[in-house]
Amino acid sequence: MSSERPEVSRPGRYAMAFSVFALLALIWPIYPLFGGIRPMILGMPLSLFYIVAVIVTVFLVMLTLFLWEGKNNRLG
Amino acid sequence: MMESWLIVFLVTIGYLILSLAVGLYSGRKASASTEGYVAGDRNLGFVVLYFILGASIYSAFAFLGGPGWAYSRGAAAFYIISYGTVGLLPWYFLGPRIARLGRKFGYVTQAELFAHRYESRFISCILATISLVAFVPYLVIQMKGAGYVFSIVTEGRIPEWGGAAIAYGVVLIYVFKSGVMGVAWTNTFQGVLMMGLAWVLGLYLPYKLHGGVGAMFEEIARVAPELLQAPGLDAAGNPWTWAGYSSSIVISVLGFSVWPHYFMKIYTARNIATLKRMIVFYPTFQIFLVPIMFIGFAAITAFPGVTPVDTILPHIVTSMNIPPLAVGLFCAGALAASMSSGDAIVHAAASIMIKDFYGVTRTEKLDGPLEIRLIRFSVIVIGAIAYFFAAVSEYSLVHLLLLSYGFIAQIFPTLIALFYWKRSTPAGVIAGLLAGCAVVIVWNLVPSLQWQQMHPGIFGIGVHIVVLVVVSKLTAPMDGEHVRKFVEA
Repeated sequence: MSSERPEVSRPGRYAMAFSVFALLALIWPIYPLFGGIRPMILGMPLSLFYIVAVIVTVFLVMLTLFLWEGKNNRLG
Repeated sequence: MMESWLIVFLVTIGYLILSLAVGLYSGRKASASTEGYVAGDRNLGFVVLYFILGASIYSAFAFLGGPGWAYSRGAAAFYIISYGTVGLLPWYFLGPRIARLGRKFGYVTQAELFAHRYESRFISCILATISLVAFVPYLVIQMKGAGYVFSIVTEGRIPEWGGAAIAYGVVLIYVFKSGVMGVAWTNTFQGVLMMGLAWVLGLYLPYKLHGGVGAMFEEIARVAPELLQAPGLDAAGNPWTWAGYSSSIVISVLGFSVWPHYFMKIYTARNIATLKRMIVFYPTFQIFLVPIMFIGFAAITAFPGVTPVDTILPHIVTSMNIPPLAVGLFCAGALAASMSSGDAIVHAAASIMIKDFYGVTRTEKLDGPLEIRLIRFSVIVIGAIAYFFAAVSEYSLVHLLLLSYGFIAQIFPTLIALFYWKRSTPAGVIAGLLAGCAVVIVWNLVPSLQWQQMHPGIFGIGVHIVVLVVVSKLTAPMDGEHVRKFVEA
């Protein structure tokens, strides 16, 4: 099967798995675990701080995978 | 001493003149072909691409509706930040393939790819119809937002219909003249202005009203803790269900990456690396929505009982003693939010109407110069239709707006089948799309079908996938040689 498809690099596969995980982290049943008010972090209730933390994590992880892929990206 | 409303008005007009200048000047960079007018000669760089997508999504809804949600529904508003964070990630995998096929076969719209893969003009017409039905109410809301801002800042001296006409007159001129390049560079200018203002207002207001962001949230936690507890409240003020919150995010995420006016921007990228880098950096744009939320939260205890809730931001700005120059900048920011979405929609809607609908119903191909003339003409027509609903008609489009995300999300399963399922057939795809949209309509019209406030689009997607698979299996497979061009792209 996979031989007929374009080769997906290892960072590409991680990126795909991570994307699905990131979506799940923002909805039920994972978000309810962090949906409370306390502790307040950086002045924000936990429910908001958690979302901000997910945004920053998504950015950093995808940036890392993108740089890891490095050479492949320049082939476009 | 100049009257303060006049200063506010002059700042707003200054912004409009700058937008117009940027929009008209930028058109000189593109060629006179359809590819130039619709896809910017496939030569857009990272910064412009980042802002064209960032600013098109942050519409009047984010700037006025976002604080309104935070103010009335609390943590429910976090769904708006959440979906944009992951909404563009499908492009990381599919975007490069779409861009390569676009270069190879010369696509500039979404439906061109789908129609070619499934060798069906009918698919093109269905997609064009779904797009236009979803676009018009969206555009109307943007125009209403712009008119509203004008009327507030001039203290009613310019009526809402007049304000909408001035702001969208400017938009139509630069989209008509410069096409996607006008959209791209004005969005960059408008995006920077909007983000700057969001941070200034979002930090200033909690500080001024409560002594800081931390103190503000402490106060809300004491007075109205239910607002900070995820997933916040529903429209009626009762606690929202997790099914409602989660399904809204899922439908928005599926819809996000296939909204036709975003999707078309994949073709505009200079190269694959630029496209992927933009997708990686895209979540940073979401951070801009956090201070927007602060604005709404700041008003909860300071300005209770304001209705309609969407007017909370202008209400704060005009009732606090803020210097007129700053109020003017706020108005410019709100107009920027409205116009940076409206311009992308009007441009995409016109291109789709001509290329994907009118173009495919004809037997011979449209020649380039005629095609551009028709698209420019459609820019004016679509602008006029939306303006009619925004300024003249009393007809409420709220219902159509609710349908639009549910409709648009139906394009996502088709996109996946296009690239990953060789056995999918034109009949399967058409039946799936129509069944999905029909289910969304029925679920919206018959409230008793609701379960746990689940988004109607979820049921649509479920039925869509089943119908797509069953009908594809029952119909003859497509030519393997043809399908391989896409599945192995």
